[in-house]
Amino acid sequence: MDELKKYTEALFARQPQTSKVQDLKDEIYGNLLAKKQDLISQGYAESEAIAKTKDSILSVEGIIEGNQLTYINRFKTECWQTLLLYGSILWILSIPTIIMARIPFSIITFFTVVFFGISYLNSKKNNQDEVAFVNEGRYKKMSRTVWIIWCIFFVVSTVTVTAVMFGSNIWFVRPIRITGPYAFASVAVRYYIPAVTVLLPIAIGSFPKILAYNERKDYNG
Amino acid sequence: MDKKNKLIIILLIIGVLAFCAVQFIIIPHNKAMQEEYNARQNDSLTHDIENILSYKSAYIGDASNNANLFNRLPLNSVHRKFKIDPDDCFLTIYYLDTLWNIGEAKVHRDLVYNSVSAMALIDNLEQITYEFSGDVFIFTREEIENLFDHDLSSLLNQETWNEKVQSKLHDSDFVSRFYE
Repeated sequence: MDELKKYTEALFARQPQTSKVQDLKDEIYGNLLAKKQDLISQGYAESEAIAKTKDSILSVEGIIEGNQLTYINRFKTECWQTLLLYGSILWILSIPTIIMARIPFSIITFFTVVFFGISYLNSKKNNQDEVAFVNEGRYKKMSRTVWIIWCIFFVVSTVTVTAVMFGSNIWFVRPIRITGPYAFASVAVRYYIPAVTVLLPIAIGSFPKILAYNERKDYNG
Repeated sequence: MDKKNKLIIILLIIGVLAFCAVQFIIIPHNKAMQEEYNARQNDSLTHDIENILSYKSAYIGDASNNANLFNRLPLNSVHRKFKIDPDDCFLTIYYLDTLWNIGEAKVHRDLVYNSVSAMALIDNLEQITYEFSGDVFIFTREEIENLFDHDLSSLLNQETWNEKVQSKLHDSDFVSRFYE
């Protein structure tokens, strides 16, 4: 592989491997080769021409579609803050489940809040004016993936709970008896716990919006 | 950002208050209520029929159903063993204690209650024998139905049960008729 090819590969190393990015990579490589030939024809030695060609393009971040110059630490801080906010709501919603002896769920949500809180405070310490390119498509894809995972989790847990709670009643043709508020709550809590975890995909789903909000708008490429 | 921080602080305060309320008020209150309820389940005069309706069964042969039923009936704190005779539809319960230890009046009343409960719930249960160290009591469906003057399964709702079964057990003369 020639040196300009390697350089082009290095420029695109952190970019998503889509067909559009591949076309752009080929185009840039072609341009670099043309520039090198041009410099050689002007009388530059090959090594000198390659060095000057490399200097002509130091980054491709700004020309990748979907990349946005962002106040990166502000963005990360707001993401952690949003997770902390929704995590706190989830913790509050988990507290009544302690009454039904669902203590582990409440403990997990509590430590999740602690983790989000520490991450948020740490993130706040970073330079909030630092900028970097962030690909919005990546966060939209992350949001979609988290929603799909949550939907699968919710369906599987709901079906499992229904099978465990009512399977034997259906199999042995016994009537399903919910004799009072406590009996109802002990059934309902098994559906309630997976349902309230919807707050996590909601929180992660807001990341693309937070990203758009933290764009550095005075940048012209 | 500040607005969100304020909201987070308010939520955390709500969380801490809710946790304290659940941990130090609601749970101890529920525990006390549950203990009181459990204590009532060990006495035929205060037992809750709703607590055993899920053990209704057509056959005496379901051993786990029998064991679970008697776990929720009076005398549930006394260790016991079961023997099922599915051919004659007889059930024998061996209580590993004496009448003197438990209290004769309570045992007499609770055995009547347990028998009527079990026969009302298990359709083909014809006879129950209770064996204590030194004492044996036998109850047949016919005898129970005669003395309560009802088809037993028709008694299985809270109001009828209280009126036709539980209230009668306050009367020691009525109870003693089962032991003549």
